[in-house]
Amino acid sequence: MNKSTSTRRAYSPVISALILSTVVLVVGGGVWAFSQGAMRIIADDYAENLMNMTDTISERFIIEQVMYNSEMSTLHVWVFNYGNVDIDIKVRIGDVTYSENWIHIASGEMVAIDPIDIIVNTGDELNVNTFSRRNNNAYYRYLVP
Amino acid sequence: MHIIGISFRKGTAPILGTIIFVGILFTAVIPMLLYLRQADTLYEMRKHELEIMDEERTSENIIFYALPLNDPPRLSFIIENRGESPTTIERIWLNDEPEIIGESLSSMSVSEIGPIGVPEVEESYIIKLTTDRGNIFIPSSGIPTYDPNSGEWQMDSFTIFIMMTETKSQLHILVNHTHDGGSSIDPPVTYFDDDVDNNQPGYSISVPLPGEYYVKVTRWHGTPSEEELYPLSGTGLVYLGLTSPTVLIII
Repeated sequence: MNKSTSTRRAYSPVISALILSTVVLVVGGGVWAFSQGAMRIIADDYAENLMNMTDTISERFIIEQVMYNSEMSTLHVWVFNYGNVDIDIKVRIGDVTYSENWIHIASGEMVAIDPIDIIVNTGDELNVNTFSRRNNNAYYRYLVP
Repeated sequence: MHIIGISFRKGTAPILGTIIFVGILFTAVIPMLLYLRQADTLYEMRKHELEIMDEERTSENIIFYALPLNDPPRLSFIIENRGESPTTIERIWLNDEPEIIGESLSSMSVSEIGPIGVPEVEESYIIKLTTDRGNIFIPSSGIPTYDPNSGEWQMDSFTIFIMMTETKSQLHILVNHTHDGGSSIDPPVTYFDDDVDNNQPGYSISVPLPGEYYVKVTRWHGTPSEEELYPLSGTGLVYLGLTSPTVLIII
């Protein structure tokens, strides 16, 4: 009888310790796996944002030349991307954006934008603005000859 | 069994918890921090490179002249890189036509580009030069105009206009060309050195070339000893170029 009581007392703490350890392992393993996943996502997200920011601050472009063809009533704009990253731009004159699609300009290239149909008079001042997909701007003040 | 049970029960769970905590620290948190630090370092490096690029762009200094040639009409260009960094001439614009050049110029060197042929029609040429750093320069020699009738080129002239607020005083004007935009002129070339009729409110002196001019206006009331020098800045220098073909001096 005594022996039986002793045996019962001996197994119970071991089982509880095993259960506790299992719970710790399961919960800890879950936290570990979650932490690794979460940290990887956070790190990748941070790095991607940083890369985007790097590309944004790396953009360098100018409006190199503007010319108005009075016979055709078209405005010609040349944009030079002298930065190290490719850019996508649109052209805006005053408050009107004239490019429907983004115009891609590779690094180190100059591109003549498709002629813009616009009627202006001699002496008019045009504020030509090109803005990139990453929200950088280049301006050119053009006095129509 | 009883003794082993007590030891197992008291130590295992905290030890496992600690191991898991340290494991998370070393396999997730610290690598992430190192990764973020590395990304930050790369970003800072890129930012630093861009700052250097922008500084080089700002310090880029190119002086060039358009030299008109006849039979047939052509334009040749003398280009001097006076900046500290080498540069590449990407394009030269003749009005709205870009001429692709792509010539590299080391620091403090001079190169001749061209000649580039132009049509035999009467036309003035607004010339621009673009570098690979996105700078645009204009020639110091002004705007050349081709006259097909005479077959000659004409260059625009530059004017120093002196406006007198006091017509009773007597004036003597000296204009010396001290710098042609590329190098100093030693000794300076005197374009004007004479007494001036002070009955008119203004006096204009035309000079043929752009560059830096030393202007000295001597004014006196009755006796030449009370001299007064112009300009008020005390440098005595004015600069004439394509963007400022006329300089107004008020005395």
